[in-house]
Amino acid sequence: MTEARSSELDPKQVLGNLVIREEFVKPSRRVFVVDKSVIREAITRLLKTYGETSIYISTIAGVDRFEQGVIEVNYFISILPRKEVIVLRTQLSRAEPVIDTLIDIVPGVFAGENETYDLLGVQFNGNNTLKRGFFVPEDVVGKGVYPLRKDAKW
Amino acid sequence: MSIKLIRYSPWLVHFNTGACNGCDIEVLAALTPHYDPERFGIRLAPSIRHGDILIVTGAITKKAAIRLRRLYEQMPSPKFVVAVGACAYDGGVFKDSYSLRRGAREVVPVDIYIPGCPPRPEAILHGIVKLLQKIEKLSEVGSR
Amino acid sequence: MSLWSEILKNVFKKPVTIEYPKVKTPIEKDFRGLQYADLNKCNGCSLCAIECPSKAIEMRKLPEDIKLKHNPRGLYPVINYPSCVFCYRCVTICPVNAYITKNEYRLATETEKLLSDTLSLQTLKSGGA
Repeated sequence: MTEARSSELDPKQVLGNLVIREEFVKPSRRVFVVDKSVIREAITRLLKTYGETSIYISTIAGVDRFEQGVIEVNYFISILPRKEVIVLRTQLSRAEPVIDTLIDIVPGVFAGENETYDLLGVQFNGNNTLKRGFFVPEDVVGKGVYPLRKDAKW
Repeated sequence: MSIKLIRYSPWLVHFNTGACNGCDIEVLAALTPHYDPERFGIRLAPSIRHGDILIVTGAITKKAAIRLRRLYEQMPSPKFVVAVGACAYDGGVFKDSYSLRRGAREVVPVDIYIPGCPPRPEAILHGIVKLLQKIEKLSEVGSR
Repeated sequence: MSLWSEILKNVFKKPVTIEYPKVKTPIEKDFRGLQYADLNKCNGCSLCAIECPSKAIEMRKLPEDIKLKHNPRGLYPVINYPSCVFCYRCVTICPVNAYITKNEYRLATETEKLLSDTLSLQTLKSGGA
């Protein structure tokens, strides 16, 4: 009986107390800031409410904010019955960027996590398919450089 | 003797080394009946072992440079190379990137450069006609 | 019935090929082709070299015997055409409108560099001293 009404549930109500604050980027895109330790709980809640075939993770975008000393990891989630895309934003410290992996619940994040590890140096706990030469050529790997960081020299 | 046969009917092979596909669209538009390259005897070859002229588009990435070198060594001699676009000359607007070689001439010996971003199909045909005139001069001197 | 009229119409039509070297293709008037600097107006400020996104413009010193009053630094821009993407940012940003633009697009070359210095220096000879 809840299947007929689950597509009218607002994502902010589903996530509930996990959201720290909401930010504004552009009028048709909602951004929710969550803590990095609850990301698996948030994705599991969304999967249970909307169903496994009506939600998918579009892409993972990592941003290096040099002045604030954080690395942001943005998860773009597309909710098909409501025809909208929401963003879950987590912030990791620049000295030690570590976060839990999502590859056993959502196998489609394989490319996103590999790209963020190879270009920015973010470690995903529990993902054993990560390797360095995925996008970056061999001589830049040999110098130990993460090319998309703001202080990288090659 | 072998170069003269190429002048009358060269077969093209086209390879894209990481381009934005702008130059590819113009190269494929130059091979349609609207501009009709078959008047010069040019057609697209099915595989690299049948090719005479190699057309390179795109900024040459470090990972694609290995495959480009392998393709060039698999072509039977006599062979010629044409570099199309600003990216194939020296990287174009992406000159100081971490994953590019500086142009196609570091990997294969190039005969003709065609400037433009992307060049018009008439400009590509003009470049290939210049290459055919260069081959005519070579065949008078002696074979390679 | 309409099938036969279509067949008859197409038998007597000319082929659609543009025979390129004999027939010129129609080009619109503001097509972005060759561009070079007019040395009667250029004052050597180097804004075009700073603005170029693919760094195709290099500033060079004028030859020894030419002294121009409106060019105190004695520099003029030289464009390397295989690197240029024809975006025309140099034409737009020039403060004295010193660029001459043409429609020419047939620029294939065998040499490694194709420079615009002879075209720029020729504007001095026909103009004045």
